[in-house]
Amino acid sequence: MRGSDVLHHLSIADAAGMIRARRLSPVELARTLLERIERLNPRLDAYLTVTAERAISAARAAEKAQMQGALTGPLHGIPLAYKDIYDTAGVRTTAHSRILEANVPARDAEAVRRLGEAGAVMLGKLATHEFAIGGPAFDLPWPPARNPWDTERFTGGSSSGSGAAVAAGLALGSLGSDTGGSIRFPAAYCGIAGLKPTAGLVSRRGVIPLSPSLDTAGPMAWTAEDCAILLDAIAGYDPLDPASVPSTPPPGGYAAAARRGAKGLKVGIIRRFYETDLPASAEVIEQMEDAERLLKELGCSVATADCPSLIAFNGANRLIISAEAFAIHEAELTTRPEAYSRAFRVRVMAGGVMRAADYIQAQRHRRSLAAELNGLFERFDVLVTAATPGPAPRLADVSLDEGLARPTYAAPANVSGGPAMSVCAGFAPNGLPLGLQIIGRPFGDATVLAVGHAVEEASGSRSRRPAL
Amino acid sequence: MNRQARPARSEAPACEPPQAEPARRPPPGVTRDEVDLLIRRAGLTLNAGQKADLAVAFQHLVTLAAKLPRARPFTDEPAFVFHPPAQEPAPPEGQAATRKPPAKAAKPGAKAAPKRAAKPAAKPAKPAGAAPKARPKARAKAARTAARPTRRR
Repeated sequence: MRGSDVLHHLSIADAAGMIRARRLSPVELARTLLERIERLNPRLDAYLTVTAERAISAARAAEKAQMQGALTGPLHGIPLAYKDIYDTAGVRTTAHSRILEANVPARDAEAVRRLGEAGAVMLGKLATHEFAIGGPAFDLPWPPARNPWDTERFTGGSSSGSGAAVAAGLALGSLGSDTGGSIRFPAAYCGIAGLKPTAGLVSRRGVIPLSPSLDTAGPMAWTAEDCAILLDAIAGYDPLDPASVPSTPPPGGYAAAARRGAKGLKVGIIRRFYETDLPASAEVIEQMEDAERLLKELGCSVATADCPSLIAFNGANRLIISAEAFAIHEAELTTRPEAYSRAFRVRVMAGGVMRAADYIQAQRHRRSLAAELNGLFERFDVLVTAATPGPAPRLADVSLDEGLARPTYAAPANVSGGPAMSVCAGFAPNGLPLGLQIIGRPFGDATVLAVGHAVEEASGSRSRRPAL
Repeated sequence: MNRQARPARSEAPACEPPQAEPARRPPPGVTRDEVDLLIRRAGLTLNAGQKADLAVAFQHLVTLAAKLPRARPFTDEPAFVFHPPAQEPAPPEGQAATRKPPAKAAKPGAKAAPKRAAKPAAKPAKPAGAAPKARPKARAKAARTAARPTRRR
């Protein structure tokens, strides 16, 4: 058992095993989590919408199928919740913005549809930065999510509600999105696992876009193994998503591949990111030293990997996001800019006044940088580096210029298009979780998940939950 | 029926200063007049505070753009859209150094590789259900596996 003995802290893998063995009722599991949401969400603000009746109805159907021996797979009866940029048929999808406060989509996003088909039970919709970029913001109809490890702390974003809900046991898993780190930051700050899959592996159809040439949809859960279970359900070609890419899952699926261990893998550590380009805090430096030791103990060969500067990756990432995001929001920004949060305006409006040549040069540079980073996989199976420069900062200390004024460790994998995940590999002296980032070659998602799972198992980090 | 977890709120929680950052001045590299002109050309109608915010963010973008390499050959592929690389057969574990290297940066005049033909998404395997006579228990049994020790730092 990798999660806990209490229902709301079960991992997906454990809950699936209990449902399969008829030791757990999907209805009881859904009710337990709904009660917990009722009790804790006023402190955490992780959910924007709770679909309680729908969840119970879906859980009853799952239990009926369970009784008939008609399980649909490891997600049968598993309660999940989705970042509120995923379209959900008949359920409000706001992007955490007053612009879409009354938006009720007619159909599910493709990833949500696939999870429903796999038997998952939707509990509700989760907080995000406004349109996956503007946050944390206090000038919106809903407050930002709070970190369950310390509610005065930032969850990371933009998949803020996903990080908070999974860590707090308000959902067993979630879908987030990652354009410049939006899955990996909340995963790191909230002490969970989050995978940005290879670009094109998971359909983004029905996901409200931020920057279409960078946007990636992906899973967030308590463990890397759970992320792999979710990925098994949502990965696959979608002809209606122009960025979707045909792919073949590993034999036996991602979950089976995630359990295969890390022995024999060649790991490159990108030290320059956290030592030179954006120096990390002492606890993160120490955590990276521990991670290196741990990987060696797991049977990996470890060597330093060199690559272009973090500043170069971040520049390409941010310029592309700014230009593309402005284009998407131009109509609203030119007619009612005050409808957006200040954080959104700061991060997006300047995209409307930057030069077209700069956007195109950023795209050209992206291609060169991607080739350089992906070229490292001639020598290494995975790359590891820090996920964030320190544990979660206080909410009040988060700058509006975040991502613009200083680089992030997440940008390289967004630029390269390859998979990257953050797993919890330890804790700072103040008790806050610290993430380890694992980057893979394009379509090397299974290897990334395997390393993440091995690190979690060896570090023992999955036995510790926030006290709420 | 859906219900909101919490009524809509427009005011900040008491424990947080509502956007405490003071109005900012544009950095020296960009003048007010230049910013005003750019804002007009973008079709934006902004108040003074919004203009100030935009000016600061714009200066960040100017700084980032100044670091982009510019000296590219005329024939360099313009890359208006980033194409995710196509999947290659996975090498055996630990065989990174022996596998075929991935494609390098687009050479002058090179064309993007065509996408492979579409194929349907793979579905997860369906595990067999348990024996039909058993009934789900209302509560989970206690964990049989001892919790792993926390790696205290």
